[in-house]
Amino acid sequence: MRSYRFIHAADLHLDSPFRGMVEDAPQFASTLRDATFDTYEAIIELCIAERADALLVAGDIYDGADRSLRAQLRFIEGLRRLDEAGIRAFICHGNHDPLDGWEAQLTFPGNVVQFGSSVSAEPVNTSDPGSPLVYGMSYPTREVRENLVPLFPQPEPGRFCIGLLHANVGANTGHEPYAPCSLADLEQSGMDYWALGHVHTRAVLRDRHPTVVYPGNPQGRHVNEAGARGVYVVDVDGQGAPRLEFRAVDRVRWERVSLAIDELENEQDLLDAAERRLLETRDDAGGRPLVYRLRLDGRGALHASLSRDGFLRDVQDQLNDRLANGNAFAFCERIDDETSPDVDREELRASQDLLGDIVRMADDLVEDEEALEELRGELRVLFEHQRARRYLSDRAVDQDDVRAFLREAERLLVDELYDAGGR
Amino acid sequence: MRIERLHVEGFGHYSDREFGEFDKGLVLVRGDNEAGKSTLLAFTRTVLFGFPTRLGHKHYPALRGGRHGGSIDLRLDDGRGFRAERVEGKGRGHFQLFAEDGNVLNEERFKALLGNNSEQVFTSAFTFDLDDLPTIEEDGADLGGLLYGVSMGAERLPQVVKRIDEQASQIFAPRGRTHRVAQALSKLEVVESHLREVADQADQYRSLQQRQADLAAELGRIGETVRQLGRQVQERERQQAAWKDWTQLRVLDERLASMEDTAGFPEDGLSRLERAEEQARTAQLELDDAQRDLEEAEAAADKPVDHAVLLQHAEGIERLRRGRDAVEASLRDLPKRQAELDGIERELEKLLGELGSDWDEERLGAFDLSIRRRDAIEQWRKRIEDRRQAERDAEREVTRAREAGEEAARAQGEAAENAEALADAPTRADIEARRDLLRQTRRTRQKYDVANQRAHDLEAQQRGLPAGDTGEAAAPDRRMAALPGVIGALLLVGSMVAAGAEEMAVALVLGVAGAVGVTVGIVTWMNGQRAAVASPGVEEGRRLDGLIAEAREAAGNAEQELRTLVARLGGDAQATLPDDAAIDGMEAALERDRDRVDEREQADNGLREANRALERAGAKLEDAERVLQEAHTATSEAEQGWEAWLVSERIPAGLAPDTAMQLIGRVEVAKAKAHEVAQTRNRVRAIEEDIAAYCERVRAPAREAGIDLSHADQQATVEVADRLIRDFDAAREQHREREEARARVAERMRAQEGAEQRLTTARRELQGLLEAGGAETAEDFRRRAAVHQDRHDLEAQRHECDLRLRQICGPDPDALAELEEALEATSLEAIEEDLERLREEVDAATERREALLTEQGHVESELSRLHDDTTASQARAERAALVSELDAAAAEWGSLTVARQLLRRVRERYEQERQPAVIQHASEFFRTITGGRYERLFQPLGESTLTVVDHDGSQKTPEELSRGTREQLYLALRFGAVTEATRHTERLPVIVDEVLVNFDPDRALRAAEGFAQLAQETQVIVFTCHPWVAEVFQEAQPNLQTISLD
Repeated sequence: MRSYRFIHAADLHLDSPFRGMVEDAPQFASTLRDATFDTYEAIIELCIAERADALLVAGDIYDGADRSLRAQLRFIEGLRRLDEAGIRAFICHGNHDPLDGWEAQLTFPGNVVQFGSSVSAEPVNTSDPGSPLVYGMSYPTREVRENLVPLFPQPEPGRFCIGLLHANVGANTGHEPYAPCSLADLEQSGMDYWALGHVHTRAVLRDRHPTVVYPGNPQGRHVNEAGARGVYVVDVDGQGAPRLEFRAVDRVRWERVSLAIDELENEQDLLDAAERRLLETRDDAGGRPLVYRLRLDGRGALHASLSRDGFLRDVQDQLNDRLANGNAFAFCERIDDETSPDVDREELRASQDLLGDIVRMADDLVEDEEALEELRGELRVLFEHQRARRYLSDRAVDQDDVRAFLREAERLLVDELYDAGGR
Repeated sequence: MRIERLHVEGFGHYSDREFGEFDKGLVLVRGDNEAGKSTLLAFTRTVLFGFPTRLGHKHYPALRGGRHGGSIDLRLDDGRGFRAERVEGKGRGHFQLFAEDGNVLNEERFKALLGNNSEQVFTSAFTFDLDDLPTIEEDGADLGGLLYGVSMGAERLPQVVKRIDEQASQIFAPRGRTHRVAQALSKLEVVESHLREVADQADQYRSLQQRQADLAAELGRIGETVRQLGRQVQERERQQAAWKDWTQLRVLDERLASMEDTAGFPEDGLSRLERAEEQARTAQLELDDAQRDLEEAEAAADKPVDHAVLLQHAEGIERLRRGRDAVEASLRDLPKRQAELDGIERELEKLLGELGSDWDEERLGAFDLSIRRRDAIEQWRKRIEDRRQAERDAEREVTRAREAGEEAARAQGEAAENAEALADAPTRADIEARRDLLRQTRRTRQKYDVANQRAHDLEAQQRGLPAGDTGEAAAPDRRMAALPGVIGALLLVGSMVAAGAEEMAVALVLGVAGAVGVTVGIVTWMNGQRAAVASPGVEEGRRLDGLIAEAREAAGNAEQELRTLVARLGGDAQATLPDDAAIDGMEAALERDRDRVDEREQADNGLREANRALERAGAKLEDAERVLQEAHTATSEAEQGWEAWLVSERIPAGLAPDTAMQLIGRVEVAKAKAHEVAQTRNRVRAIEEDIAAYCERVRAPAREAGIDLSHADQQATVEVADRLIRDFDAAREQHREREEARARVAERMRAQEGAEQRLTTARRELQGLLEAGGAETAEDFRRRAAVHQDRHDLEAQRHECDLRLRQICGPDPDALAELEEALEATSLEAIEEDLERLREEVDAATERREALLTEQGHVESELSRLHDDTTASQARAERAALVSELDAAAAEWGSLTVARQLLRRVRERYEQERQPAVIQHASEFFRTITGGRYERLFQPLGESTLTVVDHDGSQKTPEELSRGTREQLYLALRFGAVTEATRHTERLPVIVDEVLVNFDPDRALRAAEGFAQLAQETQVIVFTCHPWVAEVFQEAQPNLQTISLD
């Protein structure tokens, strides 16, 4: 077998919007709105530049079962460019773009293999009898709760075989458990390379026999998808040994930036320190546009200022005035103030005053499941609100959430009362 | 714990000061405003809990030096003593805690010693001032929160709770509609609705795609139909187009077959024939013209020239021509000039006549009109005039001198009369002598008056003196005066005696009487002495008599002198003595005489002056007469000189200079006229000479031309000249023409030869053409040419028809035959009917296709729009943003809600565990402070407010109490909170600042007793600036320790 090169991508989520307070940045709206499309373009460019033999897309090409018309059209255009370059494309669908979702009557170019609801196999190169084989299948519908790996047949021996699937490996991925399977299932499948999709954080679960890879989504869309995002360039040598190289293709990068206020005296110090940190971060991102969430932590005199109404918003505006302009903008989506007063919590806890009572009570409640359940009940009025709950489903309140709220409440009260007491 | 001493190293305006030792119980610290009470309170808080870390909190910098900070000596309840020291340093300052045994403890240890009471608790519970008291009024509704805040160091807790509630309800409220969550949900519903709308894009796109395919198919079908119809139309159009040519072709073929054969007929024969004939005709005409021209030229070349002889006088004739206009002018001008000459000669003659019979042009010419002569005449005129003027001046001067002499004589007579009239006036020396006598008279009169007055005064004085005894009368008076003194002296002596005999009363009376007597005696004596000194005495009478006599004598002397002076003044010496009025009259007379003296001196001076003037007038007359005589002589000499000069200048004698000047003027005019005459004569002569010269130049050519001028006058001669000029011009023109004709003869001969050659050539070509056309004559040739042309035209038409038919049929070689076959089988009408029908069918199909194409454009445009439409993307982005907003709002609300719950639980625990004890303590204090008016206070179950119970059992809420009572209630609650706090932790000192000022004296006393009561539990330090407050505390606790800051 001659050596082969393919690009492994997944979870394109074309036409998927950014989440966060990015509506505050109308000047970048089109950049952010087109980010998933631009990233897809970058993948196509990468395939052509790297003279890849094939592009593998492991599901969730689109962001919803209703599939944006614009997304489908743009997707087809990219595939046509690959066709013109003689590069094949293998695609399967996942929970966000199952086969029963609407699809425009668009004709895929001849280079495209779109897997159906049952497993089938296609060679990467039809004219090479030793060419790698790609096995794959798509979700017939969104709710696929069964393990699909057993449906894959024993691969053809002597050939490098790739399994293309949108699946949730393991139980604790932080994603919906669609097509759940275990790593052992994959190990026993006989495949050489599992090109997976669904988990948005890239991960090489196993590097050999088989190689199991999540490339992650190539374009982060919210702060929980921070950091470099991209695809894997996989080279398979004559002996069938794969070599992986990650390539960042995201066009706009999300980042979480933390800054401790311990050494900062005033707002100017804060702005200067944040600007330095952000310029470093933008350099690290290769000069890409940045959307970031700034987390302020630590203890210090600046804490009191941060607690003032409108102060954080001013800082955010000033940072955006400084950095959110031009093509390589760095836009502050939000500032989280997790700073503490210049006081030790244990000292507070020991004090015979209100703050001591609060800290001690919070500690008691965190351990008191009955009390936590009561607090949950207080929160249900919103989190199970008839109209709001469908949007707050990600925030289904459990006791851990209540504990987090308790800590935040403690911090909030200490801020308020520490200030009110004139300490 | 109690504070024993404060050591201030540097804090505010305190530097190196020590306060204390403070007692264990109640301590009163007195100080006026600005004395430093607040500074000490801040110092205490700072040393115990640290310097404030925030900007805006007062630091009380060490204004008077020293380290910023200091130390406090503290004594715990268990008896242990510590010194807490804090000076400014990093963070909250550098802190050290020293135990009495010298050990140094850390700050954490100190916090434990403070019972972990925070600064807030210390500040809110253990220190308070007047400003803190109204808090209960503002926040009375939430008493629990207030009590908790006060007790636990967060007095603003109710506000914080309120703010948290507000923030939470702004984010979400179950029944609210304007909170953030509701707003986000509303917007989300709009966006979702929009997304549902744009979701139809899919169906729209799919149907558009289907329609696009259907349109393509139908367009394909219609296209084929249109193409087929097009082909049929094309075929019919071809037939229609070919029909005319095809039918004409057949007619042409028939006509050609019936025509005479003209093969070989020269191409373009007719025009060539006409050209050849034209060339022959032209050549013949040219030959004829050449022959005629030659003949004319030869005739002209031989033609004789008239007056050819004049050609030899060409130069002379030309001069005559040039001078012709001038001589004409001269002939015209000459009579005028001669008439003009006659006129001015007459004028000259008249002028000469006016000058005199002996004047002619020659004399005029010789007469000197030079400037020198005129100047000489002028000088003579002036000289004579000057002499005559001098003569007239001298005559006037003589007249004036004569008149002046007469005037002087008259004045001299008058002056003499004046002098004569004043000849009797006194002299100035007489006047001065009389003036001296008058001055002496006045002085003497004064002396006389003074002496008489003095004598009179002295006599009056003498009459005022007592007569005879005036010197002795005072002596018995002085003696009588000494009597009371003596008696007094005796009485004094008696008194002393009586005193010695111890008869005191007697002695006293005698002594007093004696003293009075002595005193009267002394006074009387002294008066007597003063009277003796004031009396004139006899000597004075005698002295006055002497003086009177002297005065009388002086008056007599003065009288005598006066009479002498009167006599000298010419008066009557024996008459009454002159008084001042008389003397004044004499002075007035003297003044009048003095005026006459002045007048006489003036008259004398006038006479002298008149005499001198008379003399001067006589001398002046003599001088004038002499000058007059000299003037006469000079005038006569000048007139004689003038006459001599006239003779020398040959000017008629007897002329005055002015007349001589007039003569010169007239001579000048005549001379100018003579000059004009001479000029005119010269001009007439010149004209005559010019005419004569011209006539002379005419003679030679005239003679050659055979013209006799011997009897011709000048005008006739000039006319002959004109004739000669004309003849000469004609002869010259004829000569030129003949020369040109001779030159033309050769030229015309060459032209004639050329024309002959062209004629020959043309005739030869014409003949050749006729032969080529098979004709013998030109007419025959033309007939054959017409036939040939008709044939040629028909063949050309046939060719064009054939060509068009072939073009219609195209390159297919069989097509023409097929077309002709088709045409053979149809008619033009049938073709046109088919064509109309087919075109209608094509139009219909085309119209349909256009409609479909338009629709196809719309479909593609719509597909393209949907392809590029970002509305859905934008809506999704908006939805994502709103979900984020909702998420953030929910998180914030969750934290606030849990915070509220957390606070609620904390407070509930306090209220269950500690608040009842606080209220119980407070109830006791309240009863004490109100003097038993209020029995107790309690918190109703489940309510957050307090109720107070009156001594008669009635209940009131705090709002129903007066302000003072509410403040007492608050103070009681404070006491309760402090008391309760001291039960659970280290008892910190209570420090209060001016809390009694709103209380009436009675309640203030009871409040002070409350403090004293509290002081039994813990140390209480009271700051005040009011003496009455100090007194109240003194009364409440007689052994009160008082420390003054002043």
